[in-house]
Parts: sequence; structure tokens; C-alpha cells
Amino acid sequence: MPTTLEPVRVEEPKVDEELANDRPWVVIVWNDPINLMSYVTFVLKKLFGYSDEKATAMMLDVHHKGKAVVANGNREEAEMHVFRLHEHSLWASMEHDE
Amino acid sequence: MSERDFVPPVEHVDNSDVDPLGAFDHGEGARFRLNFETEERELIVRLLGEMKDLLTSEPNEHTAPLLHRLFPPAFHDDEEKEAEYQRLMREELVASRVAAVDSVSLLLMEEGRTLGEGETMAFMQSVNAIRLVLGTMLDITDDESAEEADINDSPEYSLYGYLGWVLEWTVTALSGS
Repeated sequence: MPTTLEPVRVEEPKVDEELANDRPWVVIVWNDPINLMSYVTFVLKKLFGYSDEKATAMMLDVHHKGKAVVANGNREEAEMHVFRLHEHSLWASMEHDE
Repeated sequence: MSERDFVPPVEHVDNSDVDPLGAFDHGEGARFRLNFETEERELIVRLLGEMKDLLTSEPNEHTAPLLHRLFPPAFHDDEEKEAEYQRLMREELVASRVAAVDSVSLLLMEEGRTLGEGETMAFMQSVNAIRLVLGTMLDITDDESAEEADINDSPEYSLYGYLGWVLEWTVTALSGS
């Protein structure tokens, strides 16, 4: 046990892990052929408070590019977003913002 | 049917036009009216019952793909985190869906009652979930099969189209409020 106030060497993996946990997560909605475009736009407006313009642009990205990032945050926030999107039957997942 | 005779299945109503007995959340906020025939109400209530059965029974080979669509993975490339998400959230997600199905079933049986915004949202979510399950059963997996579904007039596809129509009007009503 150290008896002075000299800096103590911290194991590097721990630092890396903490950094990894702080990295922002992105919430992705994937294209699916069943959910109506108007419905997807409405859900994005309702859940995230987006303007009609922004939600429509995201919905079109989902439709044309196959997916779109609709929100981001720390892991807990992102999980809550994914949960609420799942409640509304949108095909949502989350991943680290690369 | 002339345009003037058309009544949307779900519509936003003026507060002044609302039966006071129908006011659920103190008569404040937007109100919505469901204009369904008795057969339509019964049909949707029956479908909601089937949805509840699906949500609350053990998965089997027929229901597994449907449940997968209702409860998709949150993490695509991390099995450990995905298992944790399912463990923590799955039960809550089932409970949330069952609660919506139960409340909407009751609402539909009260003919003439108007709905608050939250109730109309629950109606929208539940109809969408039914349509999602039906679409999955009909193997609508890409834009091509979705387009085919639009022109197929067999009973299952007609039902799928009908639910899409109801949903479209529900979104329109909620968006206009």
C-alpha cells in the first residue's frame, strides 16, 4: 500500500474501459418495408420533439439509405431511446459512435 | 361514396363538440373520435386479443419470428450487451404492450366515447403492432413484397391494407391536433 501522496500508477485497461463507457452511443433506425413512412415520421417527432422537416429528412434517410442515426447519448440514454422506439415497433438499435 | 359522405376512421374533434361524459382527462387537451362500425370494432378487439395471446405465451417455431420483430435486438454486434438489454427491458416492453392492448380493447368496447391524445397514441401503437405481425406473417420483407401486398386482394392482404388505412388516418388525426 502506498504511504506517500506520490501518484499511484493506475492499470491502463481500467482507463480504457472508462473512456469506452463515456464514448457517445448512436441510436439507429433501420429501414423496414412494413412501418408506414408517415408513422415513422410521426414517432420521431413525438419521441424526440423533432420538427416536421427534421423528422421527415430522417425518415427519408431510413427509407433510401437503409438506416439513419436518430439520436445519441451515453449508454443509458441511448438504451432508453431504443426502448421507446421498440415500444413503437420501430426497428432500432444502438452502437458506439465510430 | 361521394367525398362529402366520407368519414375518416379516426378524427380529431373540437373540444366544443365533445360529449362531456366522454371526457376522460378532465376534458382538456385534444380529443379524438373513432368512427367504426360494430363489425370493425369487434374485428380490432379480436385482433388485439390475439396480440395479447402472442405477447404472453411461450414462443414456438411459428411465433418466434413474430416476437423477434416485436422485440428486435438493441445491440447487433455485442451479444453480452444484447443479453443484458433483453434481460432488463424485455419484460418491461411486454408489459407496456400488454397494457396498451388492454386499455385499447376496453376503449373500443365503449361505443361513442372520445379518446384523449394518450389513448389515441396507444390505439395507434397497438394497431401498428398488429399490422407489423400480420405483415411479417405475410412475408413482407422488402419494397417489392410491400408493393405486391398493395395489389393483392386476398383476405389477409385486405386486412393488412385496412389496418394501414386506419393507421394512416390515426397519424393524420394526431398530427393535426
